[in-house]
Amino acid sequence: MSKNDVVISVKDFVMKFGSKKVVDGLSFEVKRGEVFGFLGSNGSGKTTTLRALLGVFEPTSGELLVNGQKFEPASVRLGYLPEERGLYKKESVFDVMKYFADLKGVKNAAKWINNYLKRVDLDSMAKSRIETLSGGQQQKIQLGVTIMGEPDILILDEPTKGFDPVNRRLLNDLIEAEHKRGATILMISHDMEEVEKTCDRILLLKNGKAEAYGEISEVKKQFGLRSLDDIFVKVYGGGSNG
Amino acid sequence: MANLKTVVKFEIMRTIKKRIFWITSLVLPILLSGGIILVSIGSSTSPIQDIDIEDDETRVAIMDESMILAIPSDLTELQIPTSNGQTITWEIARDREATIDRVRTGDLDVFYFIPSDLVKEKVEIFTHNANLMDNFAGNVSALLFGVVSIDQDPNHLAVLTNTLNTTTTNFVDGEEHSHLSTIILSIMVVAILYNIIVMFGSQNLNSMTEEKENRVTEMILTSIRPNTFIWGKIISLVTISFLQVIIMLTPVVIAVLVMQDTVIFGLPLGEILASINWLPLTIAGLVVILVFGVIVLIELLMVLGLMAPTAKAASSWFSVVVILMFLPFFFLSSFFAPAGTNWIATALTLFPFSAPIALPLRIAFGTITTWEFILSIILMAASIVILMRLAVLIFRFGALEYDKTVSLKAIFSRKS
Repeated sequence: MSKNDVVISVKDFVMKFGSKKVVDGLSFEVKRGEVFGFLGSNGSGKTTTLRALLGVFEPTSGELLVNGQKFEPASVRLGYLPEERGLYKKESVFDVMKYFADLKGVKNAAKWINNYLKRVDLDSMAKSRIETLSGGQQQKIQLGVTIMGEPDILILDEPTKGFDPVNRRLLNDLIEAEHKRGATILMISHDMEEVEKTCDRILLLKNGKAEAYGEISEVKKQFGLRSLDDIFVKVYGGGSNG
Repeated sequence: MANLKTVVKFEIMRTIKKRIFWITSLVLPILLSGGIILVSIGSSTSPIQDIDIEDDETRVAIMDESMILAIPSDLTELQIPTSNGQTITWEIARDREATIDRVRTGDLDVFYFIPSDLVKEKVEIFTHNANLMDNFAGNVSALLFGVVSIDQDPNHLAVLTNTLNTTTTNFVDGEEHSHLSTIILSIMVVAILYNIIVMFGSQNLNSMTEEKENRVTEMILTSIRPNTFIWGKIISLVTISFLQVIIMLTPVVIAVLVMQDTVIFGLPLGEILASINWLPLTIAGLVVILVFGVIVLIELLMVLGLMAPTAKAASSWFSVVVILMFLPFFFLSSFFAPAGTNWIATALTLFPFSAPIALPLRIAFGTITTWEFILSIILMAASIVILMRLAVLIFRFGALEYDKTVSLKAIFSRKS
């Protein structure tokens, strides 16, 4: 693999909170243009790894690089959908989206926002306060903020969490469209069916260590099981710390 | 730079769109304007005060180039006993500069210089350690009004139509010190600071907890550098604070302009304001205190807001800032001590969070030394830089502490 093909690189990453080691010597790479599934049970260290990668947390040790360097907001076009969802509740849908669009330097932001709102069937809510929207509607706005400006890299922490099947499909279509456009996607998900459908490679994290890492077919072969669901149950079912 | 502008614009626009912003900004000026109107109505019928100098032995000099006062050429001094047992000594001055120097040194209490052309020139009043309530401009007007001939002489007409221009210069410890302007401006600085912090401080605190409460921090941190974001917050909060001050003062300024002819303390308001000697250096010093004071206190509120998990928790810390601001009033008597002789006054002046109030008070009382002023400003500037860095660190490393107060120890250990 050439160096230019690697978009995200994590090497010997260790993260401690006090005396508790949350991630223990994790290493992996995400290649340009692929959809990478970052899997694990709750508390296995996935979100911590993403936060350290994006500079929200300072790693205890190790090297976490995006496009070959430590992440800096202005240096790379990146969209991040965090696990902790939230927007400025007292502001209008349009104002919040415009704010983030301006921060990301999106050109023709107003046009893009209107098109997106139409696409996700929220165009009539543009002037409504965020707090008046349902949880699902707020998630759509947040995903819009994540994918605006055609980011080269998308990092999605459980993007379909809390969605009904109709909206889940809509969201998966949006993610698929971003992938087709050429975006590299790193995704955390607990929906193994969705992962099998969309991801090229995966990493299974357990207690801060990589339990399995590679193409889905290779991982299946490694475990001798036919579905990711079965692998997940096998890895985490027996006394996972949750 | 573009992102900084975006944050500032977003923060300012969403604040001024709120109804509460306009309510809190306009309640006080409406009350103030009403107060000014009531005071002016109540005092408009007050007679012009008599010459009233209260010291036991008061020495007054006068030099009249307008020749309105009929002073005998051989008269040099006149002692006038008053009904309350005091004596006022009037001197007839012949040398303007030498007499000003005598006021400067305290040999004389007051010197009235009446120029030859009362239409084009100002009546100059020089005082030594004058009190705010001493009405020298009113005194000299009354004096001239009492003796002037009624004719077409332009000087006489200026007196008769009460269009005299006066200027007052006060000396304290040998230095020119416009007591009235200094006190007015110092009180304004203190009042503005209190308004900004006491009335709008909780808005500032809430503004900092908002990202945390709304769980927007991670989105922000991956879209913009933390220091750019914090700078944007500071600039917008300071701008909003001063915007509120402008909104608050506008009706008051309009009320003052409209009521130029209203008699207050025995003189028209316009005449009082025109007679005040506004010292540029004092004004510049007070502006510096105001700007630095607003920034340092807003930054302190920001840091507290960033440390608190919720707006509710942050609001309980708001009282800490208010207590710091009130500290100078608890020790107000120490500010009357001569400059550099009271350690409490010095400590409150140098402590960056009480300095914004202590400094203007001590300037008003004329009891601050130059080194205390300069050192206090330097310490405030240093605090602004330190608090800014602290705010960035807390936002960067502590903003995901959704349920508990951020520990500074943890922040610094994470940083290292």
